[in-house]
Amino acid sequence: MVTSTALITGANRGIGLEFARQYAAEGWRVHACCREPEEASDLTAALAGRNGVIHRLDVTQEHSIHTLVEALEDEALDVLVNNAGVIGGEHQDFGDIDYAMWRTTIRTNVMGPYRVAEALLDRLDAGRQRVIANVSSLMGSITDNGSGGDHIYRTSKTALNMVTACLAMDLRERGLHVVSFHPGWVATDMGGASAPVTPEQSTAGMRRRIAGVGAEQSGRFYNFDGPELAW
Amino acid sequence: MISFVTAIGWPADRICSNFPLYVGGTMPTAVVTGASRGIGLEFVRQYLEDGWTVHAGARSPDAATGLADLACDRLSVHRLDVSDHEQIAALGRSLEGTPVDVLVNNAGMWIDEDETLGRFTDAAWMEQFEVHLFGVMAMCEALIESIAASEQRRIVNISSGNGSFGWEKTFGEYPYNTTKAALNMLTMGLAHDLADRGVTVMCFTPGFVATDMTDHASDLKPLESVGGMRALVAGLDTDRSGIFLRYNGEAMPW
Repeated sequence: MVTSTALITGANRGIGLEFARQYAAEGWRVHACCREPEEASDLTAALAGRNGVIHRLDVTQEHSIHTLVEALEDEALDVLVNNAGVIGGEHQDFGDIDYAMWRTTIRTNVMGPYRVAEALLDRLDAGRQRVIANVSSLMGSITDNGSGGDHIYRTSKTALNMVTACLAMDLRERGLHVVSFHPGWVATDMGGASAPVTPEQSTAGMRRRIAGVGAEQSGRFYNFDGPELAW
Repeated sequence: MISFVTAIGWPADRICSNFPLYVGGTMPTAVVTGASRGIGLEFVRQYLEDGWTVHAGARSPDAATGLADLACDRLSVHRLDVSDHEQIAALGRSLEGTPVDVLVNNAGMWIDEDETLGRFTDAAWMEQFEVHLFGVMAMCEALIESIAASEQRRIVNISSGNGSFGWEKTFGEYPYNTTKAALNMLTMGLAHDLADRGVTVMCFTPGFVATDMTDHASDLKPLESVGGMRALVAGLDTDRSGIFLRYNGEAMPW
């Protein structure tokens, strides 16, 4: 049996950690990336005895992405999960916008996923599933925005969704597939303890969808439990 | 308006004058960014022609010959690079106490073939976020009191079909498309935020207009595109705030 391989960013906690845990538990080879590997004790534990490698990666740093690519050598990737993301700080309301934080958030939530994908296209070409999964948010859906506010986070996820749409278009003939996900409101450090969806449920749902992604699904936006979402 | 002016005896070349063309009230005021050429310049020209007072933002006022040709008492030209928040704040201060009926966030940029996969730097991408997104928010934050104090209370964001997920495209132009999609999200968000102040926020795709940015490779002239958008700006009901339209009124998909 040929082993499948996934690369996950922001894998030290929350949804990223759960992606690493679940893929590894199913026997996949996992490249789990995070900013501070030496502090990623949960990730280290999740990959113990599994076919996993932990990489240092800051998706906002070109040299960091370059180092990751070097470390992968000629390994094929089946699935790239662009999960690393930030919420954008406390000052996101009209009249109180923190522009420095907006820039930082765009670098992490939009440019980071694009740059990681761009750097790994050759590795994905060599894989069999060839899926790029961008962990976005329903907060990035313009159609769904019924309340305003949260401008930094919302615009970053809308822009990430547009990265998904553009990559799907550009990589279609190459046989690579790109989707955006709303992971649900998940009980993580970001989502808070009272969130109704567990990381296990969210990740299991997204993995199910990823396993079925082909040309027909590429360029679309999905809820973690299956249904397609409006942009 | 031209025929009206001519009919009461003013020569047509006095159309841009300080005479009150609008009997029984104050003429409205517009603020237009990226006003030195193309669509922005045409907004300025048409609003002046209708007798409005216009504050035009341009990065290099001294080089803005198109604006110089429109010079009159009702036109003020401001040095304004919307990626410079100090300049935006200065404009906001200079307009304190002045009602602004329509803010046209038009300043924009496009880097041609360098928009495509693998062809652009993070710096070039961020520059478009500065101009198409952060600068628009900063303009709205700086001018909100003036806008809310006006009669019409309109914020107009010049977006693009490239920012639409539902608009057919053949390849990705990443910096442009992502920043315009984000601008559309901002339009929707501001429509909610500013509803209780009676401000109507909308975004337009002006169409593929013959301007410097498009190498003038189009039959659609600024006159028609801007004329269409201005009619929509004037006529849109407040309860349709947060809408995305083509210059001719067709609904655009997000």
